[in-house]
Amino acid sequence: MSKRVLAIGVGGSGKTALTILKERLEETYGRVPDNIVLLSLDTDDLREEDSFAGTKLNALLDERRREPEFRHVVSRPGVTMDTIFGDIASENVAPYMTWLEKDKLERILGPSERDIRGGAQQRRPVGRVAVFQRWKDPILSAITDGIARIYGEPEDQPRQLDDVRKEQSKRLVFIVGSVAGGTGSGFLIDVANLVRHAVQTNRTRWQSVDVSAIVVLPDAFSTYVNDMKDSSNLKPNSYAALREMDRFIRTHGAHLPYMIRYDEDIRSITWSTNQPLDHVYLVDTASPSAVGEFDLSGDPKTGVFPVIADFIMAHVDENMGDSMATLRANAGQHYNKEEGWMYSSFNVLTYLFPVDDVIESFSYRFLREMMARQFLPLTNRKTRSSVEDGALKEVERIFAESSIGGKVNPGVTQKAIAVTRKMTPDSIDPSWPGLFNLIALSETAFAEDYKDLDEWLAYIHDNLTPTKEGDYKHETYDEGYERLLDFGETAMDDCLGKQLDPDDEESREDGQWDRILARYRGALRQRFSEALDAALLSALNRRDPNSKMLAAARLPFAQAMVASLKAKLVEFKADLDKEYRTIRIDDRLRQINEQLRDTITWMYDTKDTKTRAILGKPEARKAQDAYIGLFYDKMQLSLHQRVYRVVLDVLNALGADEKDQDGQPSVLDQAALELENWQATLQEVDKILAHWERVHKQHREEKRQIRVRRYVTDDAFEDQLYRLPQHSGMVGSHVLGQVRGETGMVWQRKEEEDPLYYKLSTMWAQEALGPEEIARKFFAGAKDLFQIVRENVTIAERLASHSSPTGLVNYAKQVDQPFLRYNPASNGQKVLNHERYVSFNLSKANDEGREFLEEVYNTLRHQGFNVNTAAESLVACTVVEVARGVRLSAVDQFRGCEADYRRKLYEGREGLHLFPEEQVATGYEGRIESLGEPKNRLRPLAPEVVIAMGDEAKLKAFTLACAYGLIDRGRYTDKDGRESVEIFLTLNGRQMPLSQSTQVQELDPRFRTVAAEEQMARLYLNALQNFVLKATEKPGVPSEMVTTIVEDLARQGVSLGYIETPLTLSLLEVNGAINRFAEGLGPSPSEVPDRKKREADNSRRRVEQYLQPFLMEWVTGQAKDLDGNSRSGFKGSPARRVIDMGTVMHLILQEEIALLLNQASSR
Amino acid sequence: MSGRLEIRRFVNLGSAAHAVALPSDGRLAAVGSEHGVTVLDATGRELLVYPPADWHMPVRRIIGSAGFDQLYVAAREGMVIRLALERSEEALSYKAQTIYEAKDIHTISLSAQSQLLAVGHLGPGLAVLRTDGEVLWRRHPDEGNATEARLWSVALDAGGEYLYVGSATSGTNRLAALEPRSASVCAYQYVEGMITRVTVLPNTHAVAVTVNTPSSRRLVVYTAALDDVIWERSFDVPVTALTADAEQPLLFAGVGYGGEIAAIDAHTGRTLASGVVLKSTINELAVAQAHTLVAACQNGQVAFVDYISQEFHL
Repeated sequence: MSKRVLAIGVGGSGKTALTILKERLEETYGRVPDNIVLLSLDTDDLREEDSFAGTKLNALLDERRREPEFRHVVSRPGVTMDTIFGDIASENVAPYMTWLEKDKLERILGPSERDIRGGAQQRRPVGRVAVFQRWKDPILSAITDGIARIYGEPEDQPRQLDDVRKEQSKRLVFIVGSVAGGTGSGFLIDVANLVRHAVQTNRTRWQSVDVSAIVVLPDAFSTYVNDMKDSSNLKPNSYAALREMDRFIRTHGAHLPYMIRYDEDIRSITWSTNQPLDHVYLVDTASPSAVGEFDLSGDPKTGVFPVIADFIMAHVDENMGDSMATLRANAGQHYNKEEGWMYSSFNVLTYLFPVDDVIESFSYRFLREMMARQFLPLTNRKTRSSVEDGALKEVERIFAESSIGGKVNPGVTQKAIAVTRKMTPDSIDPSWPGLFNLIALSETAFAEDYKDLDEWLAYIHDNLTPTKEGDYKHETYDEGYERLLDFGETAMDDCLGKQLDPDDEESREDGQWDRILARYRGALRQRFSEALDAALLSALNRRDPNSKMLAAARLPFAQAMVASLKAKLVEFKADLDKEYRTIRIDDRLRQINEQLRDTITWMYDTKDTKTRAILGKPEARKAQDAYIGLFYDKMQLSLHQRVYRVVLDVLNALGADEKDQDGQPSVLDQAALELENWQATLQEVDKILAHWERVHKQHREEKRQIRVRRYVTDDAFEDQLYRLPQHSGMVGSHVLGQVRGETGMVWQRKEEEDPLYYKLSTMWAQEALGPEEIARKFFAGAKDLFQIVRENVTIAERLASHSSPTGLVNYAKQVDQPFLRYNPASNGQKVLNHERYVSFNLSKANDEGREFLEEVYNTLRHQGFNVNTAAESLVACTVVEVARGVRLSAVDQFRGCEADYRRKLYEGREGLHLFPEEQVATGYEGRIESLGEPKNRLRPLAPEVVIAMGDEAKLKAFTLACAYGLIDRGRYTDKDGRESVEIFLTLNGRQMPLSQSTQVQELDPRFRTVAAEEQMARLYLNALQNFVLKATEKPGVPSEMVTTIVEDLARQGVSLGYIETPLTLSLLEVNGAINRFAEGLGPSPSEVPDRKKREADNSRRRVEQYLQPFLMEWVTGQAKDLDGNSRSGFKGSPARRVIDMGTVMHLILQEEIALLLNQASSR
Repeated sequence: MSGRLEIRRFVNLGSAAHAVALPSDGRLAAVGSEHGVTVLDATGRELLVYPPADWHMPVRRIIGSAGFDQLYVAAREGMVIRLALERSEEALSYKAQTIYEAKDIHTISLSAQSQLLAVGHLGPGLAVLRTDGEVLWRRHPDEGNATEARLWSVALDAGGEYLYVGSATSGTNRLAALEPRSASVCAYQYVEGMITRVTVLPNTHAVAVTVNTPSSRRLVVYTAALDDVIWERSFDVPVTALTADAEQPLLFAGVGYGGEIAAIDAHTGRTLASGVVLKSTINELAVAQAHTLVAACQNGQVAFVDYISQEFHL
């Protein structure tokens, strides 16, 4: 199981790095494991181009209902930078927005840059404003949720652990971002702070969290410079951000609680009471040797970001992660806050068998092969011909039978097959009984209907009696004429139906004969549909009896069957027509109708005959006889004609034509359309798969460009792997065959009652809406089946086939320097500590691979590598180098940014810093040169001093209070009776200790060894820090809030030292006391009545009696003390931080002295 | 002290309250918050919420006519909406109409008598329109005639004779009296510091402004012609809200981040009452009849406060 890791990306760089990490996680584990949470925070929304090799972060809940991986951090609706400026100007938000250098930003932002929703535009303050707007939701809530998800249950936490086990059990939080832009650079420290705040707030549950930052240095973006509107901020932003971070990680601690407040709500108050980051990894584009593959310049997507992703991956792996934790447990030995040796870096090289990509490739290949085999039109002529022949044979065989798959096969179809077969074709009986027999539904039904029709004919025959015969002996011919005509009319009405058009003899419908014949089409259509359906399903689902695999080309075969059958019916219909024409029913009927008209006339002309003929029959009788004969023939022919027409209609309805006489599509056309639709759909599926496969190949090619990875695979190997029976063979059996009684793929009716409408049920989907969904489900299913590949390939054998043990060892040895250019000479006496790791999995390797890696293992472990042979990942071999203990000032890129930083800073037009401490500090730094001291030059002030420079008014008040003696040393006795020398503030008769020497000694191991004067200097620094951070009021924190805050700090284990009433000392009061003291120096009105002169004298006294002496004695050490001893002063201290404090005091006092002397001279 | 302040009631809106308006009788309160407009009666009961349902419309400023038949709401997303209110016995209904659209509305002021509405922008812009939305004049970057200064606070006097405007750019700022219909400048002052609030004092014909510099915070009352300072006071803490009574010479200010209310004599600047602390920054105050005060607070609370003058009134 993977380690528990939360990876937070800030800004665009963080977003990209996390995307590439996600790709690696999916590659290794098939998906992002539950133990891993990705959280990207950016002011710029997620776009299409924010993907890597097809992988993209989710902005919504995923299919496992996991929280979004990307959060768009935008201001509240309607809030622009102008809104922020307006609120600051009116002081509604000032207490927590004092850090924003509003005036500079207001001047420099163009109209389009005032909307935060468009990103931070390389401006750090805009990025930080976004944090303040959304610190709670989504930032803190997402962080808290992320930690909760990776942390697991409290019972999961082991209890009594040694340092190594403790380190191994830690949940890891990585914050990834660059410092060059606006968002990452503006977010980084606050996100780290909020992570700590989340952990602190939940400290009873979350006790074991390690927070690291991975910071991309500005050189990574050198290729993007031309695309930027303004790239001049890259280096200044980087320097400013790193400086601030340096102060946070080197000075923040429980002894110096530092407040960051995000809005008016008291719950937005956070305390930085520890270094926010346990480790900070800097990532450059090159290692110190910077040659060949160890040069990551160029596109960061192929260099810097993948190396970060792979570094995090190394921690994610359960065993590799433990391996790294073992040495990381001692990382503290290589860090030193005072010296600034707090930074690390790394190098990673990964050999990968991209098993997930290969599985996807196999899936595409398999599916496309399957589609071509089973469903797509046959392109090979020979194959097509063979299939068509087979289909024809099948049609001729099965449709000659009386039933198909248990369904009745209509006789007309059987006859059609029989008549159209090549060998000994049957003949057609064109008589009306013969034709009627074609459409017989059953013997019984046929017999009944035939009898009915025959009886009608007999009835007609029997009732066509001439006059003077039978019952009509006494009838006159006139009466006979009437009778016979009436009977004829009635018989036609009954049998053929009423004449609808009086001028058209043929317009008779819906007589008894039509009613008998009418049901045949519908019934035969239904029967044929069922029989055809059974035949087609049998063909579609045909399997090899031994392998149980679906036969090939099922869909084309079924289509060929339909086509063959249609051809048969068409041919049969033509044959039938030919036969029917030979007996000339229509012609004869026409003739008989003409003759009947003549005969009726003859009958009419002769009907009045009363005499008998002397020889033969009378004319009237002859006319009647003729009429009777003709009429009967007419009826017989009419029946014949009607039966024939029904037979034709039936044939059309079955498929001899496209539609029947009512316009309904024929059965065969319906079946052909259904199969055609399926084929079209599956062709579309194939096209979609082909497109995805192309894109997948592009993605694989994209990944091959990554310079810190070696993909150990090639087409030939993958082809061979694919063809293994346990891979494509197994998948094929599952999909197209039957495994353990489960059928992979089967055609079925869509609805039980409707023949000839089909669905394709597969093991992956029973239903899908459209080709895209089918493609998606098929692909997901195939990919799932191909996961077996993971069991059958390991990196061991891949390496063995690609390289030699010596080759691999030599390559691993080259990974000996981090991606960080630095100057060892500037790192003081500290040599970086290097940790080297190699990780792979030996247990699942085959013999060849095992032998290969065992040799590698044996060589490398004797060469200082920590070799882990039980990596969780079977398909990666990772070489990692971590270097610890560099200081910022030794880092080339940090130093290289300083000139641009200073230039931009002292142009004064743009705010670079996000914290008042650095804003004030840089102001003083800019004035150092004004002191005119050759050894005291412009430089970054020590972070221990900078932390106390957040409020310039406080800084000045402290300095002046020191100068006037309101702040001075004295003896302190604590509640346990222990005495110490501390620095006190005397205010209104009260003495308040500001320093805490016991704490200083704890934190500064050298305190006891330095001289008393130096100890005092260090206590002054401590007093300054405590005065600013603990004693004095904070803006926007009224006294009612203080108690709650102090209690909260106590719960966090924060020591407020000897400060009696923390956070309540009013600066107004201190300044008031200073002013009163200074004014009290006189001269009094009685001594000098003139006010202006008095003030001038007072100014001079201030300078001469207090400010100057303090400056000379304490700050610069240019004067001896009261006992006549030489002093070194703050600026002569061996500690850089004390020198810097002295420098700041010098500047304050210099300014104050100049002001006072100017006032004195002007009066 | 000449009076006292008493908290009558708190109502929690659930999101930061930025703006408040009262009718002349003080019986209702219209509060603008992150969600939208809520009209409350004197007991704190909600009579109307706009917009309805789940739609949120963060409000920057809100003003009403004396009888509260019209409310003018400046939404942070960039429009001024007029809500025409109709009261039935128990309920309020409204018809909403957008009368002005611009992205960076900062302040608005109404002269109901003259049917004029003034708009001050966060950016370099000012505008005056009729209450039906007809723009009489506009200075704005969109029109190509941006003002030099930015962050404009505006205040129309009741009769609509003068429009007082104050800017809050860093450094020197403008305070001016304009003829509202023509924008012609009748009087002006350059002021060192950011003018963050402008309030016209009725009857005294004076204008009160808050002026902030990095080192000071002042409340300054000028003559109507801006040619003299009648009085000024310094504060150690920020003045976060300011309102003047329509009839009596009274100013009420929100002072400090703890949300203290101070009642101030508009003639002299003397504090008449203080000591009521709402424990949250007061974003805006409104007063009616020199007695009923409503405060909109950053923590979402709406505080109903009574000012009880020492002079006896039945």
